Amino acid sequence: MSATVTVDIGTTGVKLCVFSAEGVLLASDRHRTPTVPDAWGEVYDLPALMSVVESFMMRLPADQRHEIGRIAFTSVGESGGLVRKDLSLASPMILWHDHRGAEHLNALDAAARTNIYRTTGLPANANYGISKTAWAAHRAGSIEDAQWLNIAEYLAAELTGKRWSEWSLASRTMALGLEDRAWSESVTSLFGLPTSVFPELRPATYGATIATRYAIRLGLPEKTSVHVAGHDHMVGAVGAELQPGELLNSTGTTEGLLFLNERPSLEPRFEEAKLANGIASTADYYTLFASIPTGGSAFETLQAMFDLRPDELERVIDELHEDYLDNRIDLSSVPLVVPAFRGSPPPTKDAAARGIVSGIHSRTTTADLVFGTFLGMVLQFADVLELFGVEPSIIKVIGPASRNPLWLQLKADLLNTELSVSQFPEVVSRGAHALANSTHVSWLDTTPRSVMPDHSRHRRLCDWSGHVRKRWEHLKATPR
Amino acid sequence: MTLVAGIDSSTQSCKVSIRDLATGIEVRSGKAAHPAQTIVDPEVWWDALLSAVADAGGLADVAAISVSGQQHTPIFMDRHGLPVSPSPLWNDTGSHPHMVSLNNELGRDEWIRRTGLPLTLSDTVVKLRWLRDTNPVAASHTAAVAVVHDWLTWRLMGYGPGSGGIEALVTDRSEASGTAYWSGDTGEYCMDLFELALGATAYVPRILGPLDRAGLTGPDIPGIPAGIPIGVGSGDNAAAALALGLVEGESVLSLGTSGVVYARSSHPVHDFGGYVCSYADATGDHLPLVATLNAARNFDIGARVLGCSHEELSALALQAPPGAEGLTLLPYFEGERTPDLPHARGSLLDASFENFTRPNFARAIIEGTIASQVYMLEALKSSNVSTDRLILIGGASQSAAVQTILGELVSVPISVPEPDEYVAKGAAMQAAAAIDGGFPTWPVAATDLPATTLYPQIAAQHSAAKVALGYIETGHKEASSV
Repeated sequence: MSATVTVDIGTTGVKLCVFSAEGVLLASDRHRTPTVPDAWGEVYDLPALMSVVESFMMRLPADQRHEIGRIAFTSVGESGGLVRKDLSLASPMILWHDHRGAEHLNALDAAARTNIYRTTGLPANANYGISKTAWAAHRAGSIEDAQWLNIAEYLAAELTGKRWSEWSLASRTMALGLEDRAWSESVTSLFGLPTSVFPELRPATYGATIATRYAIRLGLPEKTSVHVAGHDHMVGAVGAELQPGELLNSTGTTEGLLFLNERPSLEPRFEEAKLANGIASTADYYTLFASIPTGGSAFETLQAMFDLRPDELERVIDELHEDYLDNRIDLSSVPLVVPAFRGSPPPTKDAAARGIVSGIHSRTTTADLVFGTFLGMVLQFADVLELFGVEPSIIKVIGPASRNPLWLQLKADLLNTELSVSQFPEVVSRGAHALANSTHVSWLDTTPRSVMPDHSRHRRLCDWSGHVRKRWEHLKATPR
Repeated sequence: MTLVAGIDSSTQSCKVSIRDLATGIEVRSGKAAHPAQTIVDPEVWWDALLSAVADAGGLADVAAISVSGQQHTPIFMDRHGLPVSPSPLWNDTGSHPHMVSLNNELGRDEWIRRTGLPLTLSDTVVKLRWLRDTNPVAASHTAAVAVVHDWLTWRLMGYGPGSGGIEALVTDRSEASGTAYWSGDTGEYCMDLFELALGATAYVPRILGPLDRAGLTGPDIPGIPAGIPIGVGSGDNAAAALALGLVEGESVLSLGTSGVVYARSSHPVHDFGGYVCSYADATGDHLPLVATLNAARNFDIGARVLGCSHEELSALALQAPPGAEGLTLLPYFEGERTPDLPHARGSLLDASFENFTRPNFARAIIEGTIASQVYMLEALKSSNVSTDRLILIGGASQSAAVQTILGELVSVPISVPEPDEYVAKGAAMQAAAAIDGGFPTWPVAATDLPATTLYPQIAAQHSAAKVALGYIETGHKEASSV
C-alpha cells in the first residue's frame, strides 16, 4: 500500500485526509465547498476548489509528500459538467441538487421512464447527470469533443490530463446500462445525446499517473497515481466493509441508505419506490440506494435558527437524550416535523417538497423543536427503509450521526434494531484509500460501538408513530 | 379639577384609571391581579377592585365611577345575592360540550337568527347549561345571573352576598348582547333561551340606556366614597370603542392576548358563516365583532423559540422580505375560533434550508398573526360591515413589524392611537355621563401610518397553507380586499 491523499467533495464541505501506507490517518482538514452563483443557480467555484486541494497538499511536510503514492477523489454523485479534451469547460460544473436540466425530462412518457429504469436502474429525475448534460449540450450548441465528468472525475482529469468515469459515479448519470455496463444509446438518444459524450469507464482501482507539472508543483512523486474512488456513499460502503444483507446508513449533509446486491433490482415495485440502482465502487456488486435530502444539514439549520453555537446545540441534544432515556419527554406535546427541507426522499423524490412543522403550541420550546426535528428524521428514515422490503442483518452508521446520541437512539428504538456505529470519523476517506490501493479494510477497525434498542421505548415510539401516522401521511402529501 | 374613575375588570387584572373630567387625562391609576384559574370564586374580582382602588390612592376625590369588564362571565346568585357556585370565565373550555348540546338542541343557525351570535363556549348561555349539567343543585338555587361588570356595579351600590336586592342588578346593551339570550333586533332578553339552557328562569339585570346612571355608591366601601354616581358601564370592547370615538366605517383591530376586530354599525348582523358576533356598543348602536384566540401571545412564542426579546423579534422580522421567502406560519397555537379549528395547533409550512432563517421565522410569526386578523376584516365585510379606516390598538400595536406588515396586507388607512387604557377610559367617560348626562369629548392622540406597498402574496400564502392542511377548500376566496 502507498500513503494516500483522499479528497471527498461533499455538498457543503470538502474533506481532505492523508493516510499512511498502513492506513493510519495522519492528517485531515475540512473546508466549506466553494460555490458561486450563476444565471441559473449555484455552481462549483473550480479555481477555489483546486486551491483547497493544492494548498492542503502543499501544507504537508515535504517528507510526507514524498511518500504519497496515491490521490483518491470521491464526491457527491450527480454533480458535474461538460469538459473538453483540453480540459477547458464547455459548461459550468453543476451541483447535484441543481435541476436546470429538468425540462429535458418533460418529454419522457411513462414508457420511456420505465425503459430508463429497466436500463439504468434509476428513476427519471433531474438530479442525475444526463439531464444536466443535455442542458449543457443545448446551451453550448455543439458538443464537439466535450464529455460529462463528475466533479471528482474533473479534479482527477485536471491532475492527470485524462478524462474517465468511475463505475459508481457513472451509474449516477442515468446514462449507464447496468446489465451490460456500457453507456446506453437507447437512453442517451432520448436526450439527443451520443454515448460519446460520456467518457471511458474505469474501476476505482485503475488510476492514472499525475501530470508532471502537478507533481513538481505539489512536491509529489512523479509516479503518484490519481484515482476516482467513486460516489461518496458507495465509497463509504467500502470503508465500512459492507456485505450483502447489511444496510449502510451514511450520514452526511444528506442521509443515504445503501444495500449491496448480487443483481440489480429493476422490478416495478422498486421503480415505483424510486429506489436507485447503481454499481458498487468495487464493481463486484450492484447497489440499491435511497437518499434522504435532509440529513446532517439539519444541524446547521437548527444552529442558525436558534442562534446556538455547535457546542450549545450539542448540549441541548445531550440533555434531550438524557430526558428521553429517563422517559421525561411527553411525545404527545412534541411538534411533528416533516423534515423535507431540501425536497422529499423516495418514493416521491420531489425536489419542490418543503418542510412542515405541525403541532406547535403555546408551551413549545426550542428543545421541543430540536427533538421533533430528529424524531421526524427518524420517522422519515423508517419510511424509506420500508421501501427496500428488506430487514437488514445489521445497520452500519457512518458520518456525523455517529456523534449524535439522540438521533442514534431514536433510530434504534423506532426500528427496534441494533445499530453498529463507526467511531472513526472519515469512513468514506478510508474507503477511498482502500480502493486506490486495491486493498480491503475491516469494519472492526473503525472500533464500532453498538446502540441497542429498548423494548419499552420502542413501544412508546410505535404508539406515538401510530397516533401521528395519519397526520404524518397527510403532511407528507401536502401540495406545495 | 373634577375627577372621574373608570374601572376595567379584565380577565387578567383589575385596573382603575382616575381622569380629569375636563380633559380625559389620567391623573393616577391602580392595578391588582386576578387569579390565573378559569373557574373562580367571584369574590376575587371584588377583592381585586378594592385592591386596585387602594393602589390608586383611593377614590375620595372622585365625583363618579363606572365599571367595564370581561364579557360573558357569569355570577350565579341565590335570592339573597349569595353566589351558588364558582364562576366559569368566558375562556374556560370546560363548557365546550355544553355549547355543542345547545347548538344541537336549537340549531346553530337558529342561535344566529335569534341572537346574532354564532354560539361559542364563551357565551353566558353556555355557562348556564354548564351549571345545570355539572351542579344541578346550584342551578336549582340560582335566582339571578349577572356578568362581572353588572355584579361589580351592584357591589358598588352597596349590595353583596347575602344582602338580597337582586332586583337592583342592572346592565347595559353591550353586556346583554354577550349573553346569547338577548336579541339585537328587539333589544329584549330572550328568556326562552335562558330557560332552555338553565332549565329554569331567573332574574336578569335590567338593561339601562347608554347615558343612564346605574345608581349611587353604597356606604362603607373601603376607599370609595358613598353616594357618588355610578355610570351604566359596559363590556370591555364597547368601552374601548367609546373611548376611541369609533364611527361607522372604522374598524378596530385589537392585538392583545387574543385578537379582536370590531366595527360600529347602526344595525345588528346575522353572520350565518359563523364568525361575526353581533354585539351592541355603548352608544346605542351595534358592535359586530370577530375574535381569534391567538394574537399577541404568538409573539411570546416566537420570542421564546428564537431566544430574543419582542423588540428583537420585530427587528428580525423587518430584515426578511415580505412573504418570508415562502415560509408560512398558521398561528393556531391554542386552537382557533376564527376559523373554527378548536383542535388545531400551530404549523410552519414551506420550510427549506434556504428560507428557514431567524428573520424569516420572525416575519412568518408576525405575518401569520396579522393575516389571521385581516381574515376577520373579510368576515366583517361579508356581513356588510365595511372598513374604510383601521384603528390598531392593543399591547402589540406599537411593534414596528406589526405596523409594517399590517400596512402590507390592507389598503385602507391605518391609525395607531397612543398607548392608553382605552377600556378604563371608556368606563371613565360613562362615569362622566353619570354626572353630565352626556359623554365628554376627550381627544385621542394617534399616528397615521404612511401608506406602504401591498403584498397580496402574504395573504395568498396563508390561504394556500390553509388549503394544504385541509382547513379550507381549494378555491375558497379569502384574499384580502380590505
